[in-house]
Amino acid sequence: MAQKLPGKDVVIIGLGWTGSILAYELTGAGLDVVAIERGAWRDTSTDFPPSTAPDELRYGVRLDLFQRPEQSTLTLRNKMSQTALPIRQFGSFLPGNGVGGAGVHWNGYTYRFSESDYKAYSHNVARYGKSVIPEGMTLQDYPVSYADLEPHFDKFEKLLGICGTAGNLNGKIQPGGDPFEGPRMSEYPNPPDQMPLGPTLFTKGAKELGFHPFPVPSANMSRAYTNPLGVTLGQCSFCGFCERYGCGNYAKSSPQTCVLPALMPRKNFELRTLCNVTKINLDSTGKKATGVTYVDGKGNQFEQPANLVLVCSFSFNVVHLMLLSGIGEPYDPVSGKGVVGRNFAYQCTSGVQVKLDNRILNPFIANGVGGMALNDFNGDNFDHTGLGFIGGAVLQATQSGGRPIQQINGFSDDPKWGSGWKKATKENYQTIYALGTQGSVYPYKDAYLDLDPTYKDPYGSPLLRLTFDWHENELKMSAFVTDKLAKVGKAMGGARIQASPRTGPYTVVPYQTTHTTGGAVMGDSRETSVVNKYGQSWDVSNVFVYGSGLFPQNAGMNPTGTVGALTYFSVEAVKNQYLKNPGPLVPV
Amino acid sequence: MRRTLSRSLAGVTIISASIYMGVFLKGAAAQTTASPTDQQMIADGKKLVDANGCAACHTAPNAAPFSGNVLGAWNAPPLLNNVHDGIGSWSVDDIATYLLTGHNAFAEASGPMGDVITNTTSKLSAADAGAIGAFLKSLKGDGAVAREPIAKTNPQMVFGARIYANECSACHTQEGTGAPNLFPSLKASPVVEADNPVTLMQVVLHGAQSVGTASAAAVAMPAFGGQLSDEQIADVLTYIRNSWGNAAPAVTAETIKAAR
Repeated sequence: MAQKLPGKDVVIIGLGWTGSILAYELTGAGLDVVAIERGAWRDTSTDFPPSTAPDELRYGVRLDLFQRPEQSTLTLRNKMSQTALPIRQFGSFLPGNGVGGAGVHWNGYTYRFSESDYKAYSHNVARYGKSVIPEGMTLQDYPVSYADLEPHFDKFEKLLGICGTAGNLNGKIQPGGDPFEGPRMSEYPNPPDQMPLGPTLFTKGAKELGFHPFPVPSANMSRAYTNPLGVTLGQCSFCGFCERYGCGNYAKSSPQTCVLPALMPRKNFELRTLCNVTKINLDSTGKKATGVTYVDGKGNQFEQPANLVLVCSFSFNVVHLMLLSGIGEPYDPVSGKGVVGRNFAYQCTSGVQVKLDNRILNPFIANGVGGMALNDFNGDNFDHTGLGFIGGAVLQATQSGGRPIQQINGFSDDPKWGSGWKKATKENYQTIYALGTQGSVYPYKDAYLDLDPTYKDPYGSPLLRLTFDWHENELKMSAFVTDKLAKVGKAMGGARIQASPRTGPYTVVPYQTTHTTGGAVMGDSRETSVVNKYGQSWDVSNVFVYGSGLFPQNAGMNPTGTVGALTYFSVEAVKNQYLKNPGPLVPV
Repeated sequence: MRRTLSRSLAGVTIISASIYMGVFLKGAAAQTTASPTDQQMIADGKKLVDANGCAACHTAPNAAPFSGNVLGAWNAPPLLNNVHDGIGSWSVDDIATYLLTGHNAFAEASGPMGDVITNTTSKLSAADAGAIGAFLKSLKGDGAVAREPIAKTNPQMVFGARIYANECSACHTQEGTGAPNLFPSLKASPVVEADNPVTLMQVVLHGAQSVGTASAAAVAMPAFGGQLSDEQIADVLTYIRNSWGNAAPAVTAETIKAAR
């Protein structure tokens, strides 16, 4: 029997980027807020001091900062005809765990998607006709435009102190930036990071081919920066331990370095760690949430009443919780009816190894982003006529480290062990540069999330089941953009190039990207979305959803910028409209 | 709203304003509505310093006023304009900012001074904090002449430099400058060159958390006591105390051992 606790104005499920921003904004509006977090408290100086944070075995291999499969996992199958099996070791994606969430272990890429990415369906149909949408693809528009989100991107970038060069200031194209980006109201708060040799050669090669390289917008501080919350970040030292690691010297934007120091002292904020929310509770009408039920580290069950429930966990957990709580109609791929779990998408990555003889790349001099990119083949920045696919990818020369266990580059025909491996590694370490693509993945009828019929989590609830495989559109896209990237590799001076476009079937090993999206998508119609443009549930108006689960499909860039902008877009409406008049913000 | 004014004293601008602290700290142009004399500012500051009992900690028994003291594991640095261990490099603004926020370009308050800032000085008006700064800057230095740093070839300096590069430079930078309001500068720092390096030892052995105030967040430094030996800590502290223009006596492994 759950012990019922005194009520709160707001309960936040998960204290990562979105949860901490919402907690800061809503405590600032005078509300009494509690955040309930499954993982542990994490703090820069005690959890990742600079002298112990760069531990590749602990963090990179043994995945210290990530969700453990025994806490919860999901089952996976490629096709609806197969039986899904539990993921017992996370591989292709790594959900975060603990205070700060993915904001602790990320690299720091902070893009904005292209303007047309937010209108992917109507834009592509208008340009190429309806026949460009393949059978089974359930592409749809965001219910918000780039222009709607622009001020909120700006706010998020200033919170994080993003380092970059504007490519489009108020409609005017700027030298050195991304000419394909939407208009920005202001320059990045910090200048771009210094570039190592690899990205410098990439820039030269890309320009020779007529492409438009620009510094990847980065959350690795190029200088000390104090954000609008009065929190100061330090300068990145290029230690080469970002992704999978906490930053020891306050130089990577995270909830810990940007928000929590200003949030935690507030008297109207409370955090409960090692507490797992198992259900959002509804009243007898099923149209109003009364709060949440959670289980603490000792197995004690509590009911936390609240007027407003904000679901801020990783995208999989959001969908899982909505399904377990009976909020929204579960998606049925056979009838095409229902919405919760619909439009799961991923990102389609690929790589190109470039051997640069007579160069010394010093790959260990690196930060999380530390590089250049080009968007010439992303979204609809290029003519897709006759190509047989839609979408695209950002092409990147980013170097996140030269770590000895996981970041030794080599060709597929190099020996994998013994003296041959040692010889190849000695030759390759300083001379092979790895380029990469982050490609869009569009949604399909048969790529979705639902509850597994067989396997259960430690609380006795069904695991989430993922049904996903690559589709022809994405594999053609990957082949096309990887070929373009190989050409850049050649122009960099590559003596040997090995391109590895994505091939099917989808597999949970090796690591690809943690950019899982969808399942709780936002939209204009309750027939095709779980929530409205503010992330508010169509069915239960005091439940709001945040994070990449909202994305109707995934664009060819890292998602955190859009996650942040959607959060600020929503919280503005919550503060200015919802709190004054609780109820649906968009007519149902 | 109380009066708002801007004054110039001893070549530095004093914004002795009582506009809201946050606005003050963002450097909003202060409006001049009154003009007390420098002497009046100093007199106001003296009254505040006396009333708040600053001398109780910052003066050793039977020593000259504000010439510094050691309280357990912490230095209460001299509040004089000393070359090495005082606040000679600080401006009136630097002092006011430190008192109001616990942070400035040189230092982060922790230990007993953190409590003083939380409970007392962060609640001062900007005018009063400026007055305290004006009074302290009116005090003389101790007259000590510049000292010679220990030679870079000294073995403690050589090993200390390596430890510093590995363990300290990621935050405090290779040049010892730190970052304003975040990582204390190790140059021109009252505690770094103190004759008795108790604060340095305390912070390196056990770590420290700076005070958090409404306008500047708390930051913490990890403890190194479990990771570095007595000799290594002695070497790195000797290096820090004799680099970037600093000069102070060497620290021995025995001193570290006794401080553990």
